[in-house]
Amino acid sequence: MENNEKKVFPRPEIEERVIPQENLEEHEAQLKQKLAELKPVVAEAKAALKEAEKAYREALKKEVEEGKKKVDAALEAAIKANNGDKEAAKKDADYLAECRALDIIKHGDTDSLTGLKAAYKEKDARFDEVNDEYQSVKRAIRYLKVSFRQDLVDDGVVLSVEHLKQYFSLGGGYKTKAVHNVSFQIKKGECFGLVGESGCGKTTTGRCIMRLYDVTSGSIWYKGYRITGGTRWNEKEIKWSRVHAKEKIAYLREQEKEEIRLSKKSFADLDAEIAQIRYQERLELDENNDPAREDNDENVAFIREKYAKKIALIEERKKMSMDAQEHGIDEIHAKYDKEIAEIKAKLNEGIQIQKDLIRTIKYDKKNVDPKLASEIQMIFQDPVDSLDPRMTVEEIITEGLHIQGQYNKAKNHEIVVKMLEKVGLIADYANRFPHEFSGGQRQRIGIARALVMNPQLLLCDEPISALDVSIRAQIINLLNDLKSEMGLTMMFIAHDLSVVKYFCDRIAVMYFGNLVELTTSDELFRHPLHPYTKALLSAIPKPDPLSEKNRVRMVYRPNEAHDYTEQLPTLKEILPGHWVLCNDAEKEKYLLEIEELDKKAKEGGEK
Amino acid sequence: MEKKVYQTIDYPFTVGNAPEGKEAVLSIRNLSISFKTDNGMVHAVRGVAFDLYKGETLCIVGESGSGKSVTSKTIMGILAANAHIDNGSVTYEGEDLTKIGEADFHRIRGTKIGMIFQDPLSSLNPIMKIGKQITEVMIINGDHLKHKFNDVISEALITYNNDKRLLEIAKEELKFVKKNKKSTPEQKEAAKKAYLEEKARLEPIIKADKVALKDKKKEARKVVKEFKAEIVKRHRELRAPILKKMFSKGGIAEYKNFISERRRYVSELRVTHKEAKMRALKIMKEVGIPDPERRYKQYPFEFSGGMRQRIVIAIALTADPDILICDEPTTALDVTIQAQILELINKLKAARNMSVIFITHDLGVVANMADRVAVMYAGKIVEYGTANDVFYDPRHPYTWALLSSIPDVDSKERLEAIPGTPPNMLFPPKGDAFALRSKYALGIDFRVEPKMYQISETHYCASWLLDQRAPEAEMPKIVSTRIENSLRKAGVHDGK
Repeated sequence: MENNEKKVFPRPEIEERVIPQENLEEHEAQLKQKLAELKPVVAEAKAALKEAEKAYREALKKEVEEGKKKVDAALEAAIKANNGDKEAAKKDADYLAECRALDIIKHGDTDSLTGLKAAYKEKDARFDEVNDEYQSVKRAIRYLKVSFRQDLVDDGVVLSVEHLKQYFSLGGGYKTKAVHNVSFQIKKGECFGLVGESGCGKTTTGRCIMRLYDVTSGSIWYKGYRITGGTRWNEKEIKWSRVHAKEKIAYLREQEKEEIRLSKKSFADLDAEIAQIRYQERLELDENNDPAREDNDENVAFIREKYAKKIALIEERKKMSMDAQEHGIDEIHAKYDKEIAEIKAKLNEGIQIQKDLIRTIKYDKKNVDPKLASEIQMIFQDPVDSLDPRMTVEEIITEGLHIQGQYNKAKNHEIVVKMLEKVGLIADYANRFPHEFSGGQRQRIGIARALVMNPQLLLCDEPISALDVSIRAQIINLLNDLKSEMGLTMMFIAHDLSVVKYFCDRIAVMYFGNLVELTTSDELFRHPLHPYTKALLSAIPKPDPLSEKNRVRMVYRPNEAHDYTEQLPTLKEILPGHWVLCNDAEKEKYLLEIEELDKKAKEGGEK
Repeated sequence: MEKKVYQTIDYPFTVGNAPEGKEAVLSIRNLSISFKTDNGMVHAVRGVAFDLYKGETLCIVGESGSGKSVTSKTIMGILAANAHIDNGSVTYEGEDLTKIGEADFHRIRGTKIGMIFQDPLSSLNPIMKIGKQITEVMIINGDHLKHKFNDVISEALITYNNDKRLLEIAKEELKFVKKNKKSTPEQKEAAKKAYLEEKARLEPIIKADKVALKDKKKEARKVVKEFKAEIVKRHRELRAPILKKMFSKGGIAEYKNFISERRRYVSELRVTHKEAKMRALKIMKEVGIPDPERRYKQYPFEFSGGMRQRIVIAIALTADPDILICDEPTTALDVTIQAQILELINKLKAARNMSVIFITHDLGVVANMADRVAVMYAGKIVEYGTANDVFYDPRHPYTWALLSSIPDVDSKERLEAIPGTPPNMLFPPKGDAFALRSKYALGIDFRVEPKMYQISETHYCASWLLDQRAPEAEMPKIVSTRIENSLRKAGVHDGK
C-alpha cells in the first residue's frame, strides 16, 4: 500500500535545495565556517581593490594635471601666434592635438596608465566575485533557519494552507473579512479546484498563496517551508489570554475577601454573646439590687462575679480564636497568592510562546528563498488586462527570467521560442505586441509567461471564463496536456462547476470566506451534502433542453438551512476524504442522506 | 443506404412556413450590415433572416464577432455611427425599422421593444438614484394628450414616412451610380432616368400623403382639444362645490379635498411622480427586489451584480414592451445569480406574453431559455430550429463543434476544440465561412455558399453535407453519446 501511495504522490524533487533537517546544525556550522573562511578573503580583495584604485586614480590625476598644463601652454602659444585672436587660436592644430591627448589621458588609455587600469579592473571583478559568494552564503544561512516541516514533505504535500485569514481594512476600524478560516492541502501532481460564487474569497486565497497580500493570520507551507504567514491570531491570543488572566485574578481576589469576611463573622458572634450576657447581668442586677436589704452588697458582688466569670470564659475563647484566625487569614492570603502567581506564570509562559511564534513567522516571511517562491506561478483571469500593452511578447515572457538574473539574450530567446511552441504559438510571434492577438492567443501568452519560470505549482485564476466558447476548449485541452506533460501541480479557481469537475481531482467549495465542503470531484457530484453545494450544483446550466426544462433550482439561505444555536459548526470528516462544515446534529443527518443517495443510485443503476 | 433528399428554401428571402397557430411579431429578411473602418468595410452581418413568434424565446448563439449583437442593435436602432445597412428589412407592425428615422424610432424604442445589456453596471447611471432611473422614462413618456394625438395620426404618418423614404432611397441610388468611377455614362443616364421616373411616380403620392397627414393632424388636434376640454370641464364641476365651501366660514378643512381633486385632474393629463413611483415599486417587486421602498432611494453601487441586472430588467419592463431583447444578460454574473435571472426572465415572459430575443454564447443557458435557436457564424445563420431540433439532432459542423467543445458534468473525455480563430470579417471567406476550421469541409464549401436545407417543418440548416451528392458525415462521437445519454435520461427513445 505504502509503495503505491508513494507512486501516486512521489516526493518533491528539490534535493538540490532541501537541506536534510537532521543535519541542520551541522550544515549551519559548515556554512558558518565557510563564511568565516570567506571573510578574510573578501577583506583582502577589498583592500587590494582599494589599493589598486588609489594607485590608478593618483597616477591618473597626476597625468591629467600635466596634460592640462600642456593644453594651457599650447593655447597661449596659439593666441600669441594669432595675434590675440582667441577664436582663431582654438582652431590651432597643436592646441587641438593637445586636447585630444588630454582626452585619452582622462580615459586612462596612455601607455603608462593601461597597466594600472587593467590591474584595477581585475581587482574589481575579483572583489565582485568573492563578495557575491560571501553574500550568497550569508543568505543561505538565513534561509536555513526558515521553519520547515518534515511531516508535510513525507506526506507528499506540496502546498498546505492552514487557518488562513485575510482581512482588508476599510478605515474607521471596519474590516472586510474576505477569507475567514480556510485550510487545505494540495498533494504532488494533483489538480485542486476552488469554487464558489463571486466575492466568496477564492481569488483572494489564490493571491495570498502568490504572496501578493500581507496575510492577516494563518500560515502557508510550500514543500515544507513556510512561505508566508500572519500574526493576528497570535496577537489576539496574547491579548485575550491577558484579559482572561486578569479576570481570573480579579475573581480570585474577590473570593479571598469573601473568605476573610466569613471567618471574621465568628468574632462578631462572640461579641454578641458577651453583649447578651452583659444585658442579662444588668437585668438581674436591676431585679436584685435593693439598697434597703442588708446583704445587698454581697448579692451584687456575687452576681457580678458570676457574670464576670462567664465573660472571662468567652473572652478567653475569643482571644484563642482570634489568634487562630489571625493565623488563618495569613493562610488564606498565602493560598490565593500562590494561585495567582501560578496563573501569572502560566500567562507569561503562554505569551512568551506566542511571541516566539510571531517572531518566527515574521522571520520566515522575510527570508523566503526566492527560487522557492518562483516555483509558484499564476495564470490570470483577464488575458487583456494582465499583459502590458507596451511590451512585446518576448519582453513579457523574459521578464521573469530577468528578475531571476538570466540576461543572456540568445539563451533567453531560445527559451521563449520553446515556450511559445509549447503553448501552441509560432516563434515569429515573439516580436509582436499583445494587441495583435485574439483572446485565446493572449491567454496562451499568459500561460507561457507562467511556464517560463519552470513552475511546480500553477495557480489558474478563472483562466477560461473571459474567453469565447470556441476558444475555451482549446485552452482547457492545452492546460490538460501541460499538466500531464510537465507533471504540474495545479490549483484551479473558478465559479463554473462543470469546468472544475472536468479538470480537477479534488474540489473545495467556498462560501463567504469559509470552506464548506472539500472532497474528490466524483464524490462531490455523487454525494453533495452541504446545502450551498447543492444550490451550486443545481444552478449549472446543461446543454440539454429536456433536463433543463425540468430543472429544480435550489436556493441556499444560511439562516434557514442551519440551526447553530446549540453548537457551532466545524469541518468534519463524514466519509474518508469528504469534509463538510457542520455540527454533530448535521453530521448524523448527512450520514443518513448518503445512505439514501447510495440507495437511489443503486436503483437507478439497476433500471 | 440511400441518402435522404432535403428540400431547399430561398433562404434570406423566406424562412419557410410559420408553424401552426404562431404569429410572427417581428420578421427580419436578408439583413446585411457593414461597418466602415480605416481598413475597409467590415461585413458584420451578411444576409440574416428569421421570424420571432408571439410569446416565444428565440436564442441567437455564436461566438463573439459572429454578428449577433449587431442584429439586435439594428432592431433597436442603436447601431454605431459608422454602421451601414446594406440590405434587408426588419418588419415590426407593418413598419420597416431599417428605413424609419431617429424621430420615429422614439415611438418604438423602449416602449414597444425593450433591451437588456450585458454589463448591468455600465448601463445604469452611477450618480442617479435607482428610483429616479426607473421612473424617468415613465414621466418623460407620460403625456396622455400627446399619446392621444400620436394615436390618431400614426397611420398617416407611417405611410407618409415610408413613401418619403422610398424617394430618398432612389436618390441615394442615383448618387451612388454618379459617384462610382466605374459606371459608364450610359449607366448614369439610365440611373437618372430611373430616378426621374420614380420621382414622377412618387411625388404626387407624397403630396397626397402630406395633405392627408395635415388633415389627420387637424383632426387629432381637435380630438385632443375636445378630450382636454372634457377633463377641464369635469374638474371645474367637481371643484366648484369645494371652493364654495372653502371660502365660507371654517372652510380651511376643505383644503385637503381641493388638493386631492387637483391631483386627480393632473393625473388625467399626464403620469404624475406619485403614480410613477407606485408603478416602479410594483415592478421592482415583480422582478424580485426585496424591500423596494428602501431600495428605491439607493444608488446603483449599493446593489450587487444580480440586483443591478434586475433593476435593468425593471427599467426595460416599465413601458410594457412586446419584445424584449437580452444581449448576454448573464455573462457578467456567476452561476447561482445567472439561474435566478434566467428564471425571472422566463417568469416575466409567461406572465406578460412577451417575445424574447436572447443572445448568448453559453449553450447551457440556451437549453434553458430557448423555444427556437438560431446558430450564427460569421454573420450568417447556419442552423435554425426548435431547441430540441438543434440540441438533439444537430446537422451543421459548427453546431457539432460548439456542442463538443464544452465540458460536461457527466463525462471526462477529451474535448474537441475548434481549431483556429473566427474569420476576419474585413474579407469574409467565400462559400461556407466555417469550412476553414471544419474537418468535414468539402471542396465545394470553399467556393459556393451552401443552400438552406429544410430538415423538418421547423428545422433548417445551411451545409453542403446535407446535399444528396455529399458523402455521409457522422457527428463527433462525444456529441452523439451525450445526446444519447440525455435522451435516455429523459425517457425519450430516439426514433432512428
